[in-house]
Amino acid sequence: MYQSILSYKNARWLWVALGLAALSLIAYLSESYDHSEPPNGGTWIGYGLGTVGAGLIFWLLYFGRRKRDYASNTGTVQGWLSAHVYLGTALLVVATAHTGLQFGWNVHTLFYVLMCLVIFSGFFGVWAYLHYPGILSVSADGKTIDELCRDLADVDKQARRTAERIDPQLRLAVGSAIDRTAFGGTAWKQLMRRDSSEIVLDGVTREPNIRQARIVQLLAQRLSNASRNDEVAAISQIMDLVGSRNQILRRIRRTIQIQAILRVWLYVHVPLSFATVAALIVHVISVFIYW
Amino acid sequence: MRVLIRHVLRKAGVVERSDTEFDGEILTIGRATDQTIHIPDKSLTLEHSELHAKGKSLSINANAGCVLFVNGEQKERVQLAPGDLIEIGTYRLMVSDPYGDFDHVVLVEPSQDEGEEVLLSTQMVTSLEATKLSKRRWSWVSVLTVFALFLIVPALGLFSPKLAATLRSMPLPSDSQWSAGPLHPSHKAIGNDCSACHGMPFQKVPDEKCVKCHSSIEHHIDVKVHDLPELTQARCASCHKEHNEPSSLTRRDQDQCADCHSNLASKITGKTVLRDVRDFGADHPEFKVTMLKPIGSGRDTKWETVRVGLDVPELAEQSNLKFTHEKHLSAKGIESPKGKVVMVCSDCHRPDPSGAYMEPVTMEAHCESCHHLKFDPADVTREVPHGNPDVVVRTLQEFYARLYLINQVSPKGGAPHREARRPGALSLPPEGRSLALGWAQARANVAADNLFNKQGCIECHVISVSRDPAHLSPWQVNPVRLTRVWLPKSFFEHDRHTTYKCVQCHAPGSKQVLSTKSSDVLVPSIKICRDCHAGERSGTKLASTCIDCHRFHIPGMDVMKPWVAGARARPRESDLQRLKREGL
Repeated sequence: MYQSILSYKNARWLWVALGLAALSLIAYLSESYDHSEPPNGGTWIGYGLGTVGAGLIFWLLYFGRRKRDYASNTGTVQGWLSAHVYLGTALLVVATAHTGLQFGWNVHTLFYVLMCLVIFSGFFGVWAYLHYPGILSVSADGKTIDELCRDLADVDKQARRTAERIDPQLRLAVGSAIDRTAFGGTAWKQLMRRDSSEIVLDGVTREPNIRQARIVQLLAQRLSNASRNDEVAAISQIMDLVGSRNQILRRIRRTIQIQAILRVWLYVHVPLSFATVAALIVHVISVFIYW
Repeated sequence: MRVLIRHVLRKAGVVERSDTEFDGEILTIGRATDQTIHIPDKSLTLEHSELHAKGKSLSINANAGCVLFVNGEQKERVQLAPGDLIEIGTYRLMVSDPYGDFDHVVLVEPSQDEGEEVLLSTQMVTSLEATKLSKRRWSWVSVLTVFALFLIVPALGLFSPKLAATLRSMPLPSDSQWSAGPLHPSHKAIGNDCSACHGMPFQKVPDEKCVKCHSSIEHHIDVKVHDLPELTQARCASCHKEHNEPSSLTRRDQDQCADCHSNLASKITGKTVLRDVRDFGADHPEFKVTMLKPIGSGRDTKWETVRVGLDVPELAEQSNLKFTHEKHLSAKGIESPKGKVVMVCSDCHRPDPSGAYMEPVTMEAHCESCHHLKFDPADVTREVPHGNPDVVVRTLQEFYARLYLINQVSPKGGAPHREARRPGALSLPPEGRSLALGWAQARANVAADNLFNKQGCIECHVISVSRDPAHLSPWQVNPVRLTRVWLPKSFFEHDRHTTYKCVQCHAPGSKQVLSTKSSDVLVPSIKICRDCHAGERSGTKLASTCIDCHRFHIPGMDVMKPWVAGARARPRESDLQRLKREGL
């Protein structure tokens, strides 16, 4: 049975994370109660919280390795992901308690900020994973982009054949509209569902053909002037086909977009995770260089 | 009819075949797995079309709404011959020559479309992985950037102070970004020169760096009496913490002090006047005042200090002054040259410029306006000077001698009597001079006796008599010393408590019944302080820790760092030492 990573095994990692966060909070409050000095990372409790936090960070980073380790038997990847999400969230509390709420323009706060960015990008990832697959199965009918493209190719094949029965110039335009249909592209275009389709008129002029509107317009113009019955039938059949390929293209772009959203946060999460570990090392070394 | 169905799969140049035999007339084609010819193409319907095999004839029949192409042409039903190519979705069915005892042979394989048949998805970039974005590259870039900017470049300064200074002076990455927080305002002048305090890398801040500036900081104890390693070996930085927000610089917690100042009996061998203290509100002993005590009387009076607890019944100030607050602060007023006046505390007690203590009370500033030192009813404008009895007697003698002389040279009525005299010679004959002196001394003695013993000095002072040829006056006034700093081992600031009336602390609960004796000590008991102050963990009262009232570095002690046995630098005077030096 499908089980969300958040409710994995009755959300056992949620309780572990809550426990860890509560302990950190108690440690912080005991520091405030102690009065000896303002809560900071340099007291014994501060060192303790810092060590727990650093251990957590390396463990969280190890998830990137563990999820590819298909032969591993230590728990399931789903369990690891559930723990990764919850303990990553708890790290926010552990690290904040370690800071003693002292921030400044220094490497220590840089490390904290990087860590927060990693955690928050992770939050986005969790949200995307819980939110989008459902939408994807509705919008793309459970088909992959390749399968949708095969549908498109079928429609295109019919359209090209039907176009053999119409005015040669319009036929060229239909052919170019099919040839120059575009989706995807750069990360930005994928995320924004940018349609950079074009059409070539008279064999030279290139014009944008967003949502296939230009070719529909040309076909409609021709339809109003067509006199032969078979041409009218052919044009209206092509318009039908353009309509259905438009629908397929929309699904393709939406699928590309959702798949991009499902991945794009990783391009923040992963590099910043490594930057965070680098900053952690700088943090620890610099603290002890100037002990 | 026997039909051979051969699935062909080309994979990286390797051709795989799997044959299925079929005996019957109708071969179903579709995506469903129960079809005779199963075509795993999601774009197809479950039942797409049918092959009809009748003897040597083979035909294909597309189901309603299904599309297939035979030899490139869209057909719905068509008779097939060997060599015909049927395209269904992404698959191709090839009718082959009969083989062996099979009536028909059909090859099934995924189409190897070329040219326009290439799917658009293979031409377009449809996933982020295919774009120029790269997690690996960005990971390397960010890791190297962090290391270079925040560790390597600043660390270069550790090897060359000059380079460190250059880096700090420019908007370049330097060790100042390793600072965990701002410096305390008193250390701001250090700026961003980390090495002013931090010595060798990976070593704690050494005390030598602190005493470079704080060379004369005093010890907490007399090490010769208590050689406590906790104090002689403690690092400055174990109490003085930098780079914190809010900046405190000094640890203020009471536990820091209570670590030593509790269970003293188990720590100190021999007798001690110290008592266990952990918490101001809970177990701080009653205050002990440090008072002056006269030894001897008259001119030979010596003073020493005594420490007496406010809870000791014999507590009494011995200032040699006769004074009562009750009379002076009477609500009905007190007689003065200007009639009856109602006095208030601040008529005599005014804060000194530090705001902590009170200005000393003096005869000249506070008493003289009422307490005149007149001595001759015939001349009420004259007074004797306050202070030295010899000067008082001399003043009286001079006054009366002059009075005599004035009367001589200017007798009652008539013209002034003139006598011719030689220059430089006294005009008064010797017998006249001794007459005049005798008269003046007799008058002066009467006036002095009156002043010292009846209605002058004696009102406020203790008078003793001792004849000494070196002194003009046989009367002596026992000197008065008012204790000015009662609690020299702590500090109290009057000007931070001005919202209270004097009597709220110095005569609590008794607005009418005031002190009747000059020996009364009016220093408030600890109970009064505890009305508002309590220890660190007090819930409702002002949390006050040891160093809110006491110093750790005690003026007058040895230099603490570096501590050298016997080196008594005495960099600062204690309040008590200063008072003693200034004659108390």
